[in-house]
Amino acid sequence: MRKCLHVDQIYLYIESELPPEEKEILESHVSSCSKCRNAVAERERLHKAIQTLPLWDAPPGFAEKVMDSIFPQRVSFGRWIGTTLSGISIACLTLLVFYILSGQNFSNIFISFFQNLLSSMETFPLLLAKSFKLIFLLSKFAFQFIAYLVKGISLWISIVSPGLQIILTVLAIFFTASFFFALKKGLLLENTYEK
Amino acid sequence: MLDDKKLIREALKGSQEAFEMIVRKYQVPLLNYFGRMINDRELTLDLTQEVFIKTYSALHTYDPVFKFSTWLFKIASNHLIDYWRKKKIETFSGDRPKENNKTAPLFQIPDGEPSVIKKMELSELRRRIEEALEKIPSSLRELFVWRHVNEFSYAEIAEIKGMPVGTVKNRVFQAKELIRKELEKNS
Repeated sequence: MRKCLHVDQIYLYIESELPPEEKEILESHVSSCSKCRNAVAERERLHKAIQTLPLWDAPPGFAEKVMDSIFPQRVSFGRWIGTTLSGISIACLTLLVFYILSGQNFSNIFISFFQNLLSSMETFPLLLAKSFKLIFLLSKFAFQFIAYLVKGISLWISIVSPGLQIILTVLAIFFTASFFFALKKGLLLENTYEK
Repeated sequence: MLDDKKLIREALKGSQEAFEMIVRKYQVPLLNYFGRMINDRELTLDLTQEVFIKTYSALHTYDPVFKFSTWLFKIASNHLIDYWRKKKIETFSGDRPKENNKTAPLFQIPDGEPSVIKKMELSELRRRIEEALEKIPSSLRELFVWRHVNEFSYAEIAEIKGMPVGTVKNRVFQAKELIRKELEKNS
């Protein structure tokens, strides 16, 4: 009689991993050996239970949560408008409630509201003009700064030898590129590791 | 559903939808892997999320010569090891199961082997198997989970762990024998 089976042969048989000729030999042995027959039956039942173990489910919204942690959502323009309008509406409602509670009647409330609105509309063009003047002054300052920078570079070019200029320029480009690359990588890591 | 490699190509071009499809495809397998390894729901969710984040960061290093699923689970396995190291929990060696000679199963069927499993109801048997699974060495448990929960082939598991296929098979059979012995002990 053929030697009894090893456990690994039984598992290979159950998982249909045995070559056909070995499978035939095993089945022939099992038909005549009760010990091996029981061993195969035990492990077949174990295998069946293992194959039907319950699976864990993903909770609802899990994929979205993962995606949000990798790609933080940017607020859309529409949402910005909606939020701004909601804020203005709440502010107006609050003022309205305040006026009503202060005992003023409705017509007074509307009159004072529109008076305030008109006075702010009157001052708006002046504000706009002052803002443009400020922008103009800042631009003038920026151009002056650039002009001084250019003068400084020209002076530097006249002092420093051409060879040294090339070396220093290459180093400056290298450090600037490294800085921006590191900054970009740092921002990318921040975005991907933020939970 | 698109092929993994096509999805990754799209994701690398910047398509968030492509990576989301990858997340949806592999969230359950990863949850089940971590769930069976640590049996803690909240931690399982955290670890799964972290693996997806790591995967996305490392997506540019993926070599399409290999299957994406095996690459992903390699990241998952290493992440679990890192987690255990940080918590100073005894981790498993990739090459040797942490077992002593007393628990090493015999690969020959002993005479008079008790017939315990045949008598149990299937639902009861499943419950007992889940309990027994927590007691076997984690190195064996990991291979068992990949084979019977994640349904990887032996060749795929061998690729993930960098082990010969024969060793993987032996370790999975060892795990099953240890589970069977736990069931015998508790019957």
